[in-house]
Amino acid sequence: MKSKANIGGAHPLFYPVLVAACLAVLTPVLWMVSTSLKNKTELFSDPPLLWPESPSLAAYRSVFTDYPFADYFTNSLIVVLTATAISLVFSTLAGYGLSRFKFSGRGAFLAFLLLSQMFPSVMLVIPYFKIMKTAGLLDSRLGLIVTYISFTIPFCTWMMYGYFKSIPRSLDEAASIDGCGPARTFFEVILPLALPGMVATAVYAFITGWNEYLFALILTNSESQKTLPVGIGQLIGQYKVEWNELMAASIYSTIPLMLFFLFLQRYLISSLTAGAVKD
Amino acid sequence: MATATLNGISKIYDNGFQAVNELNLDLEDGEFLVLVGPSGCGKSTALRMIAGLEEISSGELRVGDRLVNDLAPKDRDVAMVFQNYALYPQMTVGQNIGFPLKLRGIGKADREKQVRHAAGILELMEQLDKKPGQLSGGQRQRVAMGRAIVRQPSLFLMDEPLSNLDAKLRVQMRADIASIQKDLGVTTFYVTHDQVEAMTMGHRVAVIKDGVLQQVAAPEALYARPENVFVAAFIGSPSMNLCEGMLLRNEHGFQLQLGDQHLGVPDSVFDNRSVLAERLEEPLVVGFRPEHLEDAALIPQHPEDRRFETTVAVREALGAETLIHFALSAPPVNSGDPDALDELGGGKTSRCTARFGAATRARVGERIQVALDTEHLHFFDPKTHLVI
Repeated sequence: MKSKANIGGAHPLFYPVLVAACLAVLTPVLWMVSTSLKNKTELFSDPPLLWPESPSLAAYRSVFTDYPFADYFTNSLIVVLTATAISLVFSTLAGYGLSRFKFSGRGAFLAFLLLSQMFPSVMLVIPYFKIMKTAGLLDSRLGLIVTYISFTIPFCTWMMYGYFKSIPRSLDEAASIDGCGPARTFFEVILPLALPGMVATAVYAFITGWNEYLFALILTNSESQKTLPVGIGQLIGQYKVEWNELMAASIYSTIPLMLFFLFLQRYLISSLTAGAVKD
Repeated sequence: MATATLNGISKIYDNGFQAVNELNLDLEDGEFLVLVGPSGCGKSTALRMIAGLEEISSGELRVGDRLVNDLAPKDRDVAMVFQNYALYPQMTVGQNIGFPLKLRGIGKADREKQVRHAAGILELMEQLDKKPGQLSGGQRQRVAMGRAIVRQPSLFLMDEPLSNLDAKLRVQMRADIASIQKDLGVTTFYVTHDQVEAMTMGHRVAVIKDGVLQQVAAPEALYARPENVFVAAFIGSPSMNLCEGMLLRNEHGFQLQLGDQHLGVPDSVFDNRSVLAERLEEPLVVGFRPEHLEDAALIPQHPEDRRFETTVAVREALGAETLIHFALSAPPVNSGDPDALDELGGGKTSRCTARFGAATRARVGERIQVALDTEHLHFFDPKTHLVI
């Protein structure tokens, strides 16, 4: 109620600032769309065209016909969705355990999870390469999945730990007195309330994996195992850059992200626990 | 419905802090026992040990004749109402109340019947399909009650259930809870820091301080015969006036010396207190309740030698009565209540409160005569703080 009233009587600079911010964010996107619709001559015309005179979808077709783009796409989806699902399951369970049970070494474990996030990934590439080679997982989707979850689980666990801590413990206690064992308390009472936290965590894991370039580049080799970022990167050649195809491919790659967000954003609300306890 | 027995229950935390010390309590079948004490006295810990939310460090806890020390909360057959309600926000009111029944595998039709019955008692019929977030504080409180009563447990546990309600609602819910408990006849263990709740709701009241039980008695007995200084000061609002004094005997009979005042004392104060006669001319802790002080101008028949003169410091007109605060030139006594205000005046004067009739004309800054009803004095040992 309050926020609605605030928007109604907004500060005079409220909308101008919003519009400016939207322009700053959307201009590159517009340029991306416009470039993807240009033909080869329009790409390099001087002065540059804001919008092509004869927009063409040729680039959108050629990324699939001239390159194994469908494979990249499938690989990315399989790797990232699997890694996200696994991260979510483990970080949710770990976060709940860490937030609710006291055991020796808990603080040290949490610190260790955070510490693991402090290494620059470039430093880890060689060790990961050696490990994957030893494990026979080089140039495979499974290798990438293992790599990605090793990055996302620690941070996702922290996210879920924080979220579970915001759910009042007295709900666990009420459930245990009402007749729930530990598992039922978790699945029937606490987990439904953790949904917004799980969505935020899933979004984080998905974006992290979807945009990952370095490890995908190093750990895969054959066209059939490469992911989208690597595939798009290959469009930047040594002698020429197919800007229209590059932009078309980039636009394709943002579509799953947008769908993922659209589907999950309705769960990204903070008021699920409203009315549980007196604040 | 059952009895409950706490036999030497203690709680010692890992860091060595002893929250509850050898607590012994017997709850009779159908009894409403209130455990009251200042904040941090261990009363909630005691309740949580009965619920099974805290481990019992030592002692025996029985519900009925079952030893339940090591049972999980769900196997103890107790229901609990939390201070912050702890409602399941994703469930409707009906589902919240029915949840304990669902967990016991009771069929949907039966469940609905019992939920409606409980909702009827608590006047929640209209709210059954709403979520807790849509309810007012008082309604949420009643849903929490509903979730407890629908189970028909052996024992109700209530952890300051009214402390989050506003004053008016609290008075109403106080009466409602007491009458529901009476109708259902379920043994109830109720924890509060509010001595008014304790006095108005409990069949018996147990006063606890620093994890140690001080006194268990019916409210009237607790008020009339507190066993130590802490109970005397804690029970009653405004609290009992306490200061150091001395009993003397001279040609006029027995005298009470409070600072520089000497007041006549009837022989009846020694009735049932034979030890007191042996402690003449020794320092004692003297207590007298505000209602045993009166504006002398309102009761001219009050004996002259049972009055003293003082200056009005604060006047609070409450309508039916007027509270007068004044300083008495006698050393103050620390009752040990951490919530009480520190005494002012460098240890020489005590802050006292008198409950005068509304007709009093005493004004701030005036010198007035105060009549003390010396028949209703309390005496305590200054060292042990125990009643004499």
